[in-house]
Amino acid sequence: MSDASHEQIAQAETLKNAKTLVVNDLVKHFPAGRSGFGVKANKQWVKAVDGVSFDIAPGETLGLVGESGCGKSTIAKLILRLEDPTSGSIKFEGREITDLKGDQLKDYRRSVQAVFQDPYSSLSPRMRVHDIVAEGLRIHTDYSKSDVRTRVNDVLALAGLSPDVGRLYPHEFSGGQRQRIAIAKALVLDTKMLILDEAVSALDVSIRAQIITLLKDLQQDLGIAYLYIGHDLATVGHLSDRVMVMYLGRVLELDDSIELVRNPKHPYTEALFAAALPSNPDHIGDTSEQPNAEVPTALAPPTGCHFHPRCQQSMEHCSTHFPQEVKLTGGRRISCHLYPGD
Amino acid sequence: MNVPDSNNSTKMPRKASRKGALEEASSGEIRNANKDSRSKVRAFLDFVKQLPVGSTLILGILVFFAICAPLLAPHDPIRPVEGIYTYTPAAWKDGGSWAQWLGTDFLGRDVWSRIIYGARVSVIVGLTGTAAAGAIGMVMGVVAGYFGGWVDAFIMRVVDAWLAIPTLVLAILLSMTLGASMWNIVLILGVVYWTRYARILRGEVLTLRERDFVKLAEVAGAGRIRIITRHIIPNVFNTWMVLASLTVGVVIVAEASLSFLGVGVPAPQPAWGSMLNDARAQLLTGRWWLMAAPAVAIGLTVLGANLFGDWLRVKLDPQQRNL
Repeated sequence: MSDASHEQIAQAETLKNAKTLVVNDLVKHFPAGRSGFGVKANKQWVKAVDGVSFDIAPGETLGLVGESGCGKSTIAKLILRLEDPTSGSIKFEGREITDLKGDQLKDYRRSVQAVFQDPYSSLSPRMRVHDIVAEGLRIHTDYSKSDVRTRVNDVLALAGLSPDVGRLYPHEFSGGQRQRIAIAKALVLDTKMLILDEAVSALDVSIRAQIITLLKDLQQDLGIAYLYIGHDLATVGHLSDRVMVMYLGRVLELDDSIELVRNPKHPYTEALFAAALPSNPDHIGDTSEQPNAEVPTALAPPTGCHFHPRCQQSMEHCSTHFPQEVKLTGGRRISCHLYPGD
Repeated sequence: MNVPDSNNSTKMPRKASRKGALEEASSGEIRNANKDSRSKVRAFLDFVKQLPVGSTLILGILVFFAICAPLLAPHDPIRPVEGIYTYTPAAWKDGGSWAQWLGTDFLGRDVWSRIIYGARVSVIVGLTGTAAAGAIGMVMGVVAGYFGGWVDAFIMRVVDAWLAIPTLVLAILLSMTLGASMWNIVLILGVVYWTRYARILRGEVLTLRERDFVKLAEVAGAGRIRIITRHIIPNVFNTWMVLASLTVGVVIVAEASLSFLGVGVPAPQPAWGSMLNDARAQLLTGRWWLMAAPAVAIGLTVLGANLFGDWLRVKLDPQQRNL
């Protein structure tokens, strides 16, 4: 084989290994408390995201679970550049995006789109479906009217909608159909990554299954990377290749979804699984692993391991030292004193 | 409460027909063009049927007067009626006629003709003054609400200061500085009344800005101008319309007040406010009808405008009854 072909193979290899998204030590602190007329007395900070690292490969789905207030949606907003991080880096296809501005930011927005939880809030009530879906094209391309129409009809078809819906208004659709419109809108440009922030949480169970199937099919056809955010373990586990468990702004556990579901190791993950309702009510398992208190506020998180006040297996030094993240054999990342690492 | 009965009686069938259209549309049936145009006619008829009778009639007549004034007025409104110099309505005199049925003013001009021409001033100033206030208020409210921060704080403090100034005093001051003309009055009324729009629209924009579709527009790469014009303004337009319809009456009264005080529409152009002022001296001598005619005209117009505004408010958004 010639050198050139070797080079090509090497290039292809790096492309294959290249991650769509690499997040490294991401931190977002929100100011809290009163600040009026420039007098910023005893300013407090909510550590919404506190040193989170993960990556997503092309065509992969990373599930992100945690209770409300754990920073899931803040991560989505940071990746979407709706908020600016306090520190840390987000690299999209190798390019740092946290400091993009102007045209570069606009260019980034071509490739990363989002579908949000509430389908009643995510579509402008005064725009026709065609215009809602076509907006991305009108911003980023100079397509002619008929090109726009063709493309919009194509993505509507991808999302399982007929082209006729284009001239209707959002209020004429059900929640599931609205979510399909939102998905079509997110796919209209050359989308490479989709942030699904509780994208099916607001839907009926039967429609939820349809939308999940649609999302899986789309990913297979288009090779889009998903960041799927949810609190419903069954859905997240079903849709994701890997699952990341977050608690009060920090990652507690991350592994392949099958592995994680089969064998949760962190007490918090175990508790989350124990709290989920089984499909058969007779199979309700041991409820003793339920966390024993409310989620502490992110304004004043517990010392040491944030989870220790609710943890069944908490030890003495859990309340004083935050556990370092370790990598177990098999690649699982976990932060817990029960797994001190090597 | 202020809404005429006609509204209630037509509410039910209208709702039913709209629901029918919705089901038809959502069933995915492709309607052909013929059916489409017929349903448009039907929609228009439905719309006309549900209009409040009283206020629509008053405003309709007013606009009709304003547009067709030269055809309707029996006499030139700014010249004395030839050969007549009398205050008493002709019909009241022995062997009188209906020729000048509201009498003539102190210069011998036909009051009825001046009322008809005066409708022009009220309609033009009422609508454009409201639109001017609405335009300023829309820009200020949307900018304050969307950009927030010190821009918001600054604009809202200006609004607070503005609201502390008595509106009529400010209007008189501006009118005397700028000089009285009809278009100056429009401008002045716009500058005086924009604050009510700015306050309420700012609040609307604050909630809209947090809605997901605005965030998604940003994620899609839409710039600020696009978000404001495509996503914010269309969604505050209903509120704007309601505010405008409720401001028309206020603006008409304000114009009449300025004209009454002699700093409004300059003589000899007929305006109801200045007619009131002209008739003031005659009231002392017992010729009350000269004052009654423009007073009734102003009262009816404002009543019509307010009733229409109330109806529109309830129709567009029942939750804003306490606006």
